[in-house]
Amino acid sequence: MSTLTLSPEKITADLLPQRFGPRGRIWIGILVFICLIGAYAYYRQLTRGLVVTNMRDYVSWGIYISNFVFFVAISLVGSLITAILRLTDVHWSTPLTRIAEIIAVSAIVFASIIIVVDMGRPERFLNLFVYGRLQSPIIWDVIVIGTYFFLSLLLLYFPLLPDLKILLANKERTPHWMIRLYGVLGSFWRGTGAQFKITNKAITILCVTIIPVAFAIHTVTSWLFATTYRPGWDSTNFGAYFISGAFLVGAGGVVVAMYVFRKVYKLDKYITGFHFERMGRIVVLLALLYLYFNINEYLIPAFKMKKPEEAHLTTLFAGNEAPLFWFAILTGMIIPIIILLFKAGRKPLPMFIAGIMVVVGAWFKRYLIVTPTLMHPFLPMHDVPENYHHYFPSWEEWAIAMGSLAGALLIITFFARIFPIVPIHETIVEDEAHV
Amino acid sequence: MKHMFKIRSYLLLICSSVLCCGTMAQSDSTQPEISVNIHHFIVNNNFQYLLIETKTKSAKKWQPLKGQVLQLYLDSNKAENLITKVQTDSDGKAKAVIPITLKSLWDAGSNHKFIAVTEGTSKEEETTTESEISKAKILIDTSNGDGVRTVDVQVMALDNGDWVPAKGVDVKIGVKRLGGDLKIGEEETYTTDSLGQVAGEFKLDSLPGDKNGNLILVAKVEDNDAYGSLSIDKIVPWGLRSQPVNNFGQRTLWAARGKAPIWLMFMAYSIIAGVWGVILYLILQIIKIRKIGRKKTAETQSRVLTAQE
Repeated sequence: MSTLTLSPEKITADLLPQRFGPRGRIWIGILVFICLIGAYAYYRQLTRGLVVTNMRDYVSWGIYISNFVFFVAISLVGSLITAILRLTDVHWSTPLTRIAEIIAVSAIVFASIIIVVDMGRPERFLNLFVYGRLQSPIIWDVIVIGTYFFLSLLLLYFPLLPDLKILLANKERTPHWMIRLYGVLGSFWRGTGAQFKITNKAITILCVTIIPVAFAIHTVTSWLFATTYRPGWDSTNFGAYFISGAFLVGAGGVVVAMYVFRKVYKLDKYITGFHFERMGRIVVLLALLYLYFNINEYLIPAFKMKKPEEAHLTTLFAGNEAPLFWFAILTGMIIPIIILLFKAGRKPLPMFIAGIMVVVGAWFKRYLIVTPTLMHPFLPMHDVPENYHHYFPSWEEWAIAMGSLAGALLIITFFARIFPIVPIHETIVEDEAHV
Repeated sequence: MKHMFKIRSYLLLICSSVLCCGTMAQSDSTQPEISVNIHHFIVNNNFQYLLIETKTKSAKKWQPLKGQVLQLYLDSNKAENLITKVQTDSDGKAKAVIPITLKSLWDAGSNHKFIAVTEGTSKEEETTTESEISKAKILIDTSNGDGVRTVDVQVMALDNGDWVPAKGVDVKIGVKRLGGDLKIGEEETYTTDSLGQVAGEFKLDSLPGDKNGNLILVAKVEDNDAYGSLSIDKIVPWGLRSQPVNNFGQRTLWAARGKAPIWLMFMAYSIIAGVWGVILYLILQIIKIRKIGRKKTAETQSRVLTAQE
């Protein structure tokens, strides 16, 4: 277990939000630039229609939906790190809770945006609510994503309340707009026993509520596929398969963020080797679990090799998609497992590398879940142009997808500039309790 | 010397083998083997058409020949006897109907010849395939005696303008179902007698029919060397009446939005109400925290004021 034994003043000084340095400004500039290219590509899509994409009659869900599934998956980390570990009384995760929650919030925001991007007529978005059918899994997804967003926001906000008081008390060199923001959000926090009692109770209720909602959000996303009768999607295992993958990519994302924040904000005393060691164990467990579900998803259909499944599986194992498929399996699961099974692999740098591999592998894995299946419907279409049988995203699709990823990173970056990325109050309380 | 002779013999053998293989390979590449089959169909003694099947030998296997252009003629390959020009599909098949312009020629004789000519290309030579048929018709009737239902079929051939019984023709009798024809008895086929007749006992007592209990009987002569393919249908009320299930307008998972199943609405709205109830409760808790904070601030301010006084 990590121990700090630092004074509250020192902890506060270390964890207060910091101004962006030159590297931070370059980072912001790059992200804004990518977002602007994405926005321009979306402008082109809005004015010219979805024809600017390479999605056609066969592949009607391309990288937009792959990206959506990726965002939904990574957002589950909020419930894993915050809710599950908090409810099981695991205190070492305290410095990681806010990182996990802001990843969850930013990912769910962009999951909602990217689904609108995939719509050919986004101005009709409201019709989804006005004329939506309760029988459709798409409506379930809309409802559950909205619910999860509000729950994640509340789970981010409640533990932030004591920190807002600290931020208001240390407002020297803080821009005026940030002081006003802190004031709006938490000027009423006095730190009384009654306020703490309500907050702690609220956090416990939130933790209990967000776990089934988090499971629901990704299960329902998996049902968008599994309720469709297609090779590769026609599975009763899809909910569990998606959730295990989501926890893995979320944990991988937290590991990457932990390493970056530790380096950039010099948080070595707060995010220690111990945290990496523990997160390493979680990631390797989740990677093994996800590998298990992958074996189930591919081995059993491959063993039976029903005719319609054959074309799909052959494409993945040895066909056009084979390089990407084996890359995703090796990078997203096998290599991180090998790295993290050894104690030396659970040090910060190897963990960071393994985390990046997990996240990158997971992005391509979502692409492989969504797209190749669309190439092999049970009832092939007749007389479609030859190019409909292949799919490679257009530059507009790439720009929008990368823009959305950059946008999510931008939210996390700005959040870390405005609010303490490691909870100050909780760190002080736990340190005092330990002493 | 003997050694030299041996070497020369080996060299000759190798050279001749290479040349022979080369020639064979050349003939293979320039002359692909093509098979053309012509099938003539008459449906209900009324509608007739031709089905052309083409295959080519590739890697020692017969494969459908896609895109092959053929000219079809009636009786002789003169321009005025042209039935039509067809191109085979991805299964190597093409269909054609005899045009009205050839009606007088068709009516003139009892026997006719169909000729399929493949177009010659730089790689393939023109080929001609012929198929000859005699005009025939098939009749179907039913009888119901002593509780035994019988299907009677007769095949007649046109001979010098007269319809005469066709003897020794294999006939299949069945009932039309979704996936194909179901045999009415145990026999695969029935062979016509000297009167051109066959009778099959109908043993399918409890077969579901349409809503009126109707079944479609079908009698077929398939790919007969003399008469081609003939088929005829007859509707009989020998099936069980089936009541089609119509759940249109009922509460189902596939109904319109206003017709969602009650159980789904109950489950979904209960969950939504439960979770959003929690969210509402938590928002109320924030308001409560805010009130406590304001009250505390007011108390502190009044204490400060009292102390100042």
